Amino acid sequence: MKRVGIDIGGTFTDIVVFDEETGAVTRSKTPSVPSAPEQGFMTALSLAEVALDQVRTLVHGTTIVTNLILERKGAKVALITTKGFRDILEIMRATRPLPYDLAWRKPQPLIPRSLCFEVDERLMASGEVATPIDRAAVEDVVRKVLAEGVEGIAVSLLHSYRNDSHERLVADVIRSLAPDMPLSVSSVVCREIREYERTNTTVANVYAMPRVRRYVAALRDRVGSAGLVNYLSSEGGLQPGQEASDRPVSLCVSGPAGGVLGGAFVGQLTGRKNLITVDMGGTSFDVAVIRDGRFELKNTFEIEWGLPVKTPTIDIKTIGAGGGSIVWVDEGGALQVGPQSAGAEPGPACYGRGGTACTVTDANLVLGLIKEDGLMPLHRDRAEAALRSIADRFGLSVQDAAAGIYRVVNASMASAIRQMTVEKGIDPREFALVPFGGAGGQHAAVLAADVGISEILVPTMASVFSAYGMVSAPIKISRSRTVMAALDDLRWTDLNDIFADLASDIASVESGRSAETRRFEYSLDMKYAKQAHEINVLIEPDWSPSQVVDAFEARHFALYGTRLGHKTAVVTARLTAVAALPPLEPQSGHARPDRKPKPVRTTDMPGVGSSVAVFDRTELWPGMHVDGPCLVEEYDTSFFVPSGATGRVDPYRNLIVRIDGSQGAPHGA
Amino acid sequence: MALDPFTTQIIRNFLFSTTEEMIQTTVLTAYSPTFSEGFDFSCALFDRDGRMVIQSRGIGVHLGSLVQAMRAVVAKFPTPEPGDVFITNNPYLATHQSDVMVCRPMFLDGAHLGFAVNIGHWTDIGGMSPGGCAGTSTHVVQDGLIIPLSRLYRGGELVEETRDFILANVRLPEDDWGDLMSQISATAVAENRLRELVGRYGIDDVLAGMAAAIDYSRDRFLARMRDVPDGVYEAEDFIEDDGLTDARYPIRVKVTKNASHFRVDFAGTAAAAPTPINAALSSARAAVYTAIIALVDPLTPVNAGIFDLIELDAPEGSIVNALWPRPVYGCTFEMAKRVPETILKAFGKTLPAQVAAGSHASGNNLAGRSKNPKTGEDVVWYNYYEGGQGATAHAPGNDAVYFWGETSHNQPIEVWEHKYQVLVERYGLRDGSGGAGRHRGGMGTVHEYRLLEDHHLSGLGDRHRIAPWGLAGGEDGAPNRWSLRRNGETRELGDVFGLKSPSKFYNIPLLKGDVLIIETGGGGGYGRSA
Repeated sequence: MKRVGIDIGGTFTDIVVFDEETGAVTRSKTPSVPSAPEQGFMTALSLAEVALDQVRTLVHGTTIVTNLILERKGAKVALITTKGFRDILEIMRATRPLPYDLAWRKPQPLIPRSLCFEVDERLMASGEVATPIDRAAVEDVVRKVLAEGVEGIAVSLLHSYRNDSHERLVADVIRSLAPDMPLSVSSVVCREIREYERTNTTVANVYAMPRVRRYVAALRDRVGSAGLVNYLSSEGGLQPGQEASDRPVSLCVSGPAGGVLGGAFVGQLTGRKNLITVDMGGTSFDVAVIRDGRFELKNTFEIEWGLPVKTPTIDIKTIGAGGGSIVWVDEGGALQVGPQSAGAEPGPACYGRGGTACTVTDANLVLGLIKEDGLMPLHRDRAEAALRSIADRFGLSVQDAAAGIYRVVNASMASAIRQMTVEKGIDPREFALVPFGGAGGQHAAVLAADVGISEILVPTMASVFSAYGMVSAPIKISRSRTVMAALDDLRWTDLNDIFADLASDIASVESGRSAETRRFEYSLDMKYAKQAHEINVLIEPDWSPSQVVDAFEARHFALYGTRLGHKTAVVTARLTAVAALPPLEPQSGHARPDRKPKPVRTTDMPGVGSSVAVFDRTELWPGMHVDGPCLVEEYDTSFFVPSGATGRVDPYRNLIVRIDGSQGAPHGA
Repeated sequence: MALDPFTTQIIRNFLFSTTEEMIQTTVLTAYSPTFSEGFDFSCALFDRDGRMVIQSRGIGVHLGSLVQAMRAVVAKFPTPEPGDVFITNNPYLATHQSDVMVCRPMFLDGAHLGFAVNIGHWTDIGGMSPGGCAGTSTHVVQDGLIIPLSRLYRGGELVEETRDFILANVRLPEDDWGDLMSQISATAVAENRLRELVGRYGIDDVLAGMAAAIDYSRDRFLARMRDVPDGVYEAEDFIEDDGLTDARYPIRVKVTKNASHFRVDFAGTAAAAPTPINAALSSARAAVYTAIIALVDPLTPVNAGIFDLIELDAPEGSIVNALWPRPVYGCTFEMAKRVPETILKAFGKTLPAQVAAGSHASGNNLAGRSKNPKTGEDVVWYNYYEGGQGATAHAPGNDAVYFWGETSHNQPIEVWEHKYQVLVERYGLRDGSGGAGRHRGGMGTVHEYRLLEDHHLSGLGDRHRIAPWGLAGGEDGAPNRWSLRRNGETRELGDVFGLKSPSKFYNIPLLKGDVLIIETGGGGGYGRSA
């Protein structure tokens, strides 16, 4: 049987096919079709020549939900909320990103005020009913909503995380009056306290639902099977089409999650449990941490500033620094990199497609970190012209300006890595760095040295790494519920009942397969009783309260350096069901430890040397070594091995580079 | 030694990221919703001379006031030691007593690197009114405990007398201690980060990088100042009453701008009031900074480089330079908004496209005290409210924002109801409150609290009588308004209780079942309606 990963990004659609029997892995790339992603999906399948009856599972990562929201191209949907609260989306949290700015404008909510409706009902913070809900009155409201010709309805009532009976009644009325109406109910989608965040999550979910439903149905029809296509969720699990249709909001980070899974997968294959993945593409740099074989999750993700969605998400830190990031000098004379990007069109100046702004890629080309005749021909003269405008501002040579840009962007990326490690009590020196994406390899060695990492694992398949990671995804379904009780007041049997409810909720999701055995992961969001913010603590279902408190205090200490010994409270209970597919073992390459790799050419690298060896990665076989300084090139990316470092090709043809902090970066400054 | 421009930039970015981490540490570990949901605190780093190098997002009046507070720290503790932590809430050094400043000198191997500071609003600081906001206090000590600039830690050891003295004088010692620990943790994080930075670049480069950050802001701000024509700009606004009488307190500003300086002269401004609508010079200065930064360039990183370009002259004993024992509790949410708006109003006469119309311009601060019927514990709350922002030449004003130099968040109603014996019957935009115009002013909000127990309420607001002004022909926004619905009848609080002022009062008794209605003002409109 085969397993297939398909990652549809903004520019390319990547496909990876993994043969379970032989371990053979093949890959292809095809341009994406943003207006009709279904088409790109099918093109990729036919390009890879996959026989669908040979596929065990097909995992799909998609940016469709994020794009719908960012571009405000979702459906016309309405909100039904508690009387007195219809403006909840307009008010947001009333905050602004910058304290002194007169010109800043609030983001546009996903639902206009005219489509926000109220029902007369009210629950108290305790869950008790203050104002009962009246079915006839709800019917009147729903009829009004339907008269607006909406394509979906969100229901979010105050304190529904505590008591969902009113929301269930509203949902029931909607289903009886409009059985096929896309519907998103807050106590189902996000059963957690904080009304704005819960409501916005519920709204985002239904806003994307009609389009995602059509998409899931289209793929199902085209591949001719209901269970074949699975979707990669933001928490790095695969979920059946039905779950994706019901919870589009769980797909927000679908694409980037694949790369983190890829990191976990190569870690598992090569016996590494602690890895930091860094994905540097054209516009952004993503960092994620895998510790002890698990990646960290967070429960809130901001699609854009002020629009949070609460859904389990791999904790990925993104900064606006990519190969296409534009370099500029601000009014105070400081060099800035990004967040504006030249994108794919016109792209960096060196693409020769009309872009004149200086980008990180232009600097890297001048530094000799990228070849001029790779996937696309690059124009060194245009890169130099773009750099000159920067160099002149500082009275520097073009080379020195390029080196400065390289240093500044590296420092920003290193800072992002530190935020994900040191600042969370994690020592990066115990981790291996896994770089991928088009520009990752040009910076990884310097980043590693900066944060004290001594081993870099340059994965095979680096250019289609998200699709590669998707193939390894386990099936994963998560549910959560607010508990809101002091630990001392919490009856352990009540907690068990909550977990049992969550388990039965999960069981109702049709998995599309049956053979797998499920494993459950239990966790609690906890805090010191008087704190407002909670942290997630993994627990075992048979733990005693004191074991739970110990685990909480240990985590609090690791994160914040304090162990207060005060009373604790449980805010939310979370349950995740995980079912792994049969393990994968990729084919090993032919070992050629006896052969010395031959450079295909040499290149000038300012600050490093005038004839630095360049190796072709396709000719590097298991057991071979390369010594820095050198460049290892693939057709669409390259990796810089600094002087003093050694690269070794492992049995899976990953390049393992050992460095120590003293090695120099390629800069002449 | 001059640093290369790239190292300079790298160090500045690192320092900013450090202040962001200080914010995160505080939010995630604090006890009060004021800190952890409302973000009513600010962080900054200072050089060894007490000059601000970088500030976090946060509250402009907190940050600008630290200029004077840090001068006092450097003067009182000229030779700080590793492990020291200083604390103060002296309202004539910084803002009001509720804002407690924690300052840690940062060291590596005995070498002094600078200071890390966190200043934040404690839910209770003692004084006559639980949660503060006594609109009619007439002596500064009534507004709360004053902590003179003191050592809280000496060489890493807690000075227990200092702590015990503070916690013996507040109503919520455990909550306040939790918040204080979050502030201290934030400064400890900053010291660790600075040590890492020195480990990478060496102390000389880091100190040079701090100096360069100040130079950078000055140069950038000077460049942007060219967009504001040199000249003299004047305007007048008012604090509308003092809570005891109907007396109006004029605020007069005369701003002289040239190529390298702003000078703000408050000559003609009223003498200080008996009640806490005053500001001490420290917070008036912060309010001036806020306006000039908004006018010139809100994106330049704010530090001493900008502060050095702005001078002010405020008559001693006036409402913007109040002296002991005049109470100044309202300085952070009334003067901190009124002074900047008056300055923008001055520029708006000739440069309307570079400013904005008036906003709700009040914190609408309210504090309440009640009891939890189940536990019998005292419940003390404090809140301030979002409102409408003034329109500009380019766009309508934002609805429902915290405005004037701050990035506060409102507190979720669901969290609020868990803690404080109220049921919020309405939380929405206040229709019609934004001033009409070519661009409409932003709408204020309405909060209606049904009280589940008896409450005692104190208030300190303004802009209830004088509407937020429109600009360039735009109409005024609606003023703030506080009312009570009791037995089906809605009347303004002032009428119900026979108050001298609609917005400044102390300890009025509200009954279980009453509905307290808080309506915040809208922004003024911009330009004539078509």
